[in-house]
Amino acid sequence: MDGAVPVIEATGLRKVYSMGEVSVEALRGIDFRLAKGEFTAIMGASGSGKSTLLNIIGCLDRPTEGSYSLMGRQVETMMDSELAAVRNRFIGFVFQTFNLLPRASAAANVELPLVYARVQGRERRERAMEVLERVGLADRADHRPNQLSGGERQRVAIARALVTRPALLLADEPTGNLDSRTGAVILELFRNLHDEGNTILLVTHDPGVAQAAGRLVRIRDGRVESDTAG
Amino acid sequence: MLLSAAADLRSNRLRTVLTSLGVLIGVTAVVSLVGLVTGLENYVRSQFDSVLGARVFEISKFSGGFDDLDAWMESRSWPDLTVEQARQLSDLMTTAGAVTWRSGSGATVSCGGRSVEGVRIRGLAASEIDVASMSIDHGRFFSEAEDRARARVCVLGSDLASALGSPPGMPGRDVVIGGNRFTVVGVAKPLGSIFGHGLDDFAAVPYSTFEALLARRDDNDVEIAVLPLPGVTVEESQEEARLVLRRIRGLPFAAADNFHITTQQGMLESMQQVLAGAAIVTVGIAAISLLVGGIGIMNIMLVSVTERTREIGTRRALGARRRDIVRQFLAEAVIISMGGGVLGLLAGYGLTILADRLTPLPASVSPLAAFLALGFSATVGLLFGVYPAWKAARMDPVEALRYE
Repeated sequence: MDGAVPVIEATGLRKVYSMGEVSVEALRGIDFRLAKGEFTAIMGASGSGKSTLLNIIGCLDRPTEGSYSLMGRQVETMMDSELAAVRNRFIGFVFQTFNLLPRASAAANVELPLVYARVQGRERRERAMEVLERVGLADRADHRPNQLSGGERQRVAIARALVTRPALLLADEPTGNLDSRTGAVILELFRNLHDEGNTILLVTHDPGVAQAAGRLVRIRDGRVESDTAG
Repeated sequence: MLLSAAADLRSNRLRTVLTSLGVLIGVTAVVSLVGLVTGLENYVRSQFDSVLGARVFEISKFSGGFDDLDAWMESRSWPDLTVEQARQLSDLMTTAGAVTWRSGSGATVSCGGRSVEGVRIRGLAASEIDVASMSIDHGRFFSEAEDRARARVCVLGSDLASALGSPPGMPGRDVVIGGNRFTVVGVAKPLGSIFGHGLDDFAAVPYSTFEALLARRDDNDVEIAVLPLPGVTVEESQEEARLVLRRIRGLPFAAADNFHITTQQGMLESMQQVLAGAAIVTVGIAAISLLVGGIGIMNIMLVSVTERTREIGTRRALGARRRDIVRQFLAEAVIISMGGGVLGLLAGYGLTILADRLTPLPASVSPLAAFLALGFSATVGLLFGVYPAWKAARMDPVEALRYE
């Protein structure tokens, strides 16, 4: 495992938000490494900096200082359009609030990342159906989000994250908006995806969710507080 | 990209329709107004063709076109065009197929028990028939001999003939014109009307007879009409008439003409100037309504961008570049705008057809007008979609994802 390029290799990440006179240091030097095939949870209270870290890891934001490489690619110096391409190719996002397009069918939602990857018509549809099948929702492909339950919506969102076969699944409180039973189903799905070889980074403040992962990183005041195998 | 934009619009149908209403009304206005102006132009052209005869030109003291007051006052100070000058012109011109002269007044015409007041009395030379501005349906036109003899004969316009009796029955009957007895020798073929004004309510008598019995006492002025010979251009003949008439009227070399020559082309041109004015007004209305429509689109697009902040954030997270977001919102703006344009085109086309049926104007929508209407509505969508699209693309994805 050590010989392979790590999925995430970040050293000395700092992030400072300046609002006029006041500047807030959200990350105060974080070193973080994630190997291929790992299932890791990041925990931290709100304000701990875990969201900031997630945004940087997700290439939605750039660190003020430090270096970050994703799949061996130096990300912190990339231009906006390159970052968009990196997000599209290497990262599958799963959000707490699902963030499905309300007026598009489940299949159309799943196809969306492939639209930006310039995958055309038929292949796009086939790949979307493939991942919908994987999350057990092939029969719901033509339903709109408001015709689906919360758990089904999150499964559509996970299918959408998987459709580009990303190097990293990045989940931000994926069970936060679900009841515990549905949450457990979603967690089980993540565990299965991990077993199939996916690399997963999951952010949560729920210790029960964090237990599902093989490794737990606690963030506090912009620093790594602890990093333990679960 | 376009399909997904269309899908978003479909789900917000009412708002989309209301938004495109501005452009719709603008395009409707433009298409129907352009259709009307085109119709008006065709109408004017057809009227001139049917009534005047394309090659005849007219010489008179007063301009046949649209003159300002100063020009009119100056014309008034010029010496009259007399019958004598007209006769000389007829003798001297080599490019004229026919030269005729006319004058007019008004009088009451009666026959049997019937009587029509305020009839247009025309004093015409016998050569009027050669200029081809008049033809005879029943009977005949009067001859040059009758003109020389001041014969009391007349030719009636078809409307007047109908008012006094029946057109075929009138030749041979006597009528009283302004207190003088005349014998009807013919009834003219209907000329129809120009700009809604009937042309067939006249009584024509030989010019000499007119001069002796019916002319206003102080009015010796005539209008001269010339039909160029076949094979001679109107311009050539017109220039010859001008030079000959100058000589007849004894104008010094340096002096300006003291008469007007009006060609059908000239009248069409001055009509077209008026129509060009109407076209400019149309363009102004179009510009204003499209501007208003465009602002409406921009307004709704800005609302839509704000409402869909989180969608924009999600799309960015999934790999949309800024330019993908720009494209998406521009596509939406253009679809709204073009939708309004297409509906407006249909509505304008409908109104034009209606105008064509209900008025004498042969109104029609040219393919160019239709093309322009669609082109402009697409342009409006693009122009007014740029700012909202730019605003959407400029959003920070992190902020956009956090937006409630």
